[in-house]
Amino acid sequence: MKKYIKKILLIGNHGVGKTSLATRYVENKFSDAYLSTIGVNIMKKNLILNDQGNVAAVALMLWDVEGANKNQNVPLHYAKGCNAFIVVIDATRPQTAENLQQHLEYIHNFDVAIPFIIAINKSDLGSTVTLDEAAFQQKYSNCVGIVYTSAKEDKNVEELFTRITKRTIW
Amino acid sequence: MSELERLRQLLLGDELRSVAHIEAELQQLQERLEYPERLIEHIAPHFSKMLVDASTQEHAAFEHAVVCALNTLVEHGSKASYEPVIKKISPLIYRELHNYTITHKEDVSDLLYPVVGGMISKYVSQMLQDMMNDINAKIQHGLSIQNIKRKIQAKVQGIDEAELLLYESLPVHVKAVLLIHKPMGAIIAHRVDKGNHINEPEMVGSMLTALTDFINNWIHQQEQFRDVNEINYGESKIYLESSGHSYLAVLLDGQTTQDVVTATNEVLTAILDHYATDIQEFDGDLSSIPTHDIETLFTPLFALNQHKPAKDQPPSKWPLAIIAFLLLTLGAWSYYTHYKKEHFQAMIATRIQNNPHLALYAISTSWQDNTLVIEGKVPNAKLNDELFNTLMTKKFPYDIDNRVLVLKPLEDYAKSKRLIAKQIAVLNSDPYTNLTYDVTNGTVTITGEATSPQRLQQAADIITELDAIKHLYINVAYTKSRQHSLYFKNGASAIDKEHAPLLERIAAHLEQYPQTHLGVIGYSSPSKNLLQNRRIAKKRAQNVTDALIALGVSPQRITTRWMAQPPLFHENNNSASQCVKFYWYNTVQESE
Repeated sequence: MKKYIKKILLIGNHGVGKTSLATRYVENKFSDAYLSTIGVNIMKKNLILNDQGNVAAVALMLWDVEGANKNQNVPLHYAKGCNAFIVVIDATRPQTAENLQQHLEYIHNFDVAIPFIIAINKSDLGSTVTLDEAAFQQKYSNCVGIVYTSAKEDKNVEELFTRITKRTIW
Repeated sequence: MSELERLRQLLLGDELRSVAHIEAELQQLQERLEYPERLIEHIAPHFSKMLVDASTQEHAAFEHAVVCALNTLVEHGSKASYEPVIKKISPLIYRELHNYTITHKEDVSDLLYPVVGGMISKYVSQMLQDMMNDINAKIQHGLSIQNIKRKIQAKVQGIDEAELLLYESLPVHVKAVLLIHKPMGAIIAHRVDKGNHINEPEMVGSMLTALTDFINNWIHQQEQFRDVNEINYGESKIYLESSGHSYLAVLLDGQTTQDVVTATNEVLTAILDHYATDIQEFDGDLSSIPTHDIETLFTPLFALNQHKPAKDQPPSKWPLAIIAFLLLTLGAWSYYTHYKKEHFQAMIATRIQNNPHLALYAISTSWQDNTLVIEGKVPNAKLNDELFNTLMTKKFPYDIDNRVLVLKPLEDYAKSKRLIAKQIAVLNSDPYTNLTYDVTNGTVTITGEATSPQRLQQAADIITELDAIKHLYINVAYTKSRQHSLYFKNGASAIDKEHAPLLERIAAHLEQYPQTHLGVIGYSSPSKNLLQNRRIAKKRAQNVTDALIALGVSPQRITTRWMAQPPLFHENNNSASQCVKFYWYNTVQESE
């Protein structure tokens, strides 16, 4: 079985639930104090992935980066060496979806081919945001998909991380 | 009831009731024995009272009994028998000790000090002793490069040398080494020392990267770019060496000594020498990295844990290297000085031999310390002045002590005749000169042929100065200048056919004049380097000497020398300078 270590960055506006999503998924994490101190919190999840008979052991390192706002993006140095992005928007706050273009430009400027996935979080509260997955994938070949998640109800959380991680390997 | 039964009641009624009562009680007792809990319930109140009474009234006996019971339990009881007791008692003892420690801190300290204090004292003393040994050893090896370096470092940093020594002497314990992929923060390889453990090294690697990125980015914005190289936590620290796409993080206890810095640098260099491309292209696939091989390269860092006091360490190789260097330098200097003196002596001898007036006399040179002593005899002061002028054409690097004696004018006729004979013999030592002489009634006649009018004139001057000689007649035919040198092709030193006629003639001449000695001096062109010139000149002179010996000349009659330069007056003539020249020495000694 091949072994991998992969770095995935969670980006999105403040309060969209990046930390909640990651915390729900992982088993190990540093104190949340780091997030407010140096702007990043790092979490780890050990995965065994199977794809058409190929099996891989992955140490997935999730970098939960401090939420960006309209005028400020994630510091680029945190994205160095990352294998994929998870863009998180809040299903109940349409304005967070309005900043999606800004996040995608950030990813595009970083690496035009790096895979990313969009998580519409807090979907248990009813979504006011709807995105056309097919249209996105047609426009961005590196878009893995759009997943409606709920960290609170543990809805599609595993699918979100598994899909993007698989894309980094196969 | 039968009659018999009634009779039994009358006779044994009381006994039967007693028996029935006893039987009932016996049954009760049996039941209690079968069910011990019932017995305990029954006895317990009495037993506790009994124990209290025994412990107060029969204190000594009670104590003895308890101690015996405990001893028996500990010594002979099985684990199963006393373990429940210990389990029951331990929490009580712990709780009591805990409470007592809190309420009687000072008492406990006093109580434990002899044991714990002694242990700590012994440990600290041992540590200090090791440190002192280390420091003493370092001071004793005062001539080492490291010591000189430390002295300079102390001066530059403005701190005490002893402080630096103390800093170097603190033990270092490398607990773990991590190689981290810098952009990703992923652990590529990690190795932990025995007895240490890192929880989630991947997390540590990522967090270190995030921290250093944060600090570097902040500093970059505020001041200037500089990598973080040390993170302190408690008594431990993380020393970071960064290069290209990787960090080498060393987790250690103690000070980041120069040894740590050097070893870290060397390890990272070794890793990058072998695996720089693998690390640069790393995308998370751990099978693309030879992790085990990289971890093997960490060994020098863990070797720092086997720090021994300096007294056990082998002496530094630096002092030996310095001594070897000094000896080599001294050897080279001695050789150079010797060569220079030899060269100078040969030059002086050549000058004397090249002077036609002085060449006739046996003038020798020798060294006394750094003074070149010139000894011999000349017949008049004029020749001595000429000798002095010949030598002193320029300032020399060595002193010259001219001990040449000037002979008094000869009045005795017989002595004069002997001197004339010697002069002619000296002139005839030239293989192309053939002179005869006659002395009759104070008149000297010289006839024959010669190659050098100057040399003949010089002899004539000496003869005319003799008081016993009234007239001198010279009837000599001068022949053209003949060859006195053997020439070689550029860089060559071998004797060939062209050299044979002259060598044969010289050998024949030496056989004819047994008192004549030959000087063979090899020369070379100035075109190559000094050592190469010297080698060629030496080989030419030796080959010519060997050829003459092969022709029957005694080696004792040949003095062989060589000079890494062209002969006088041929300094700029490449073909004329590549030669061997011959000089004839007359060993006839003048008597008083």
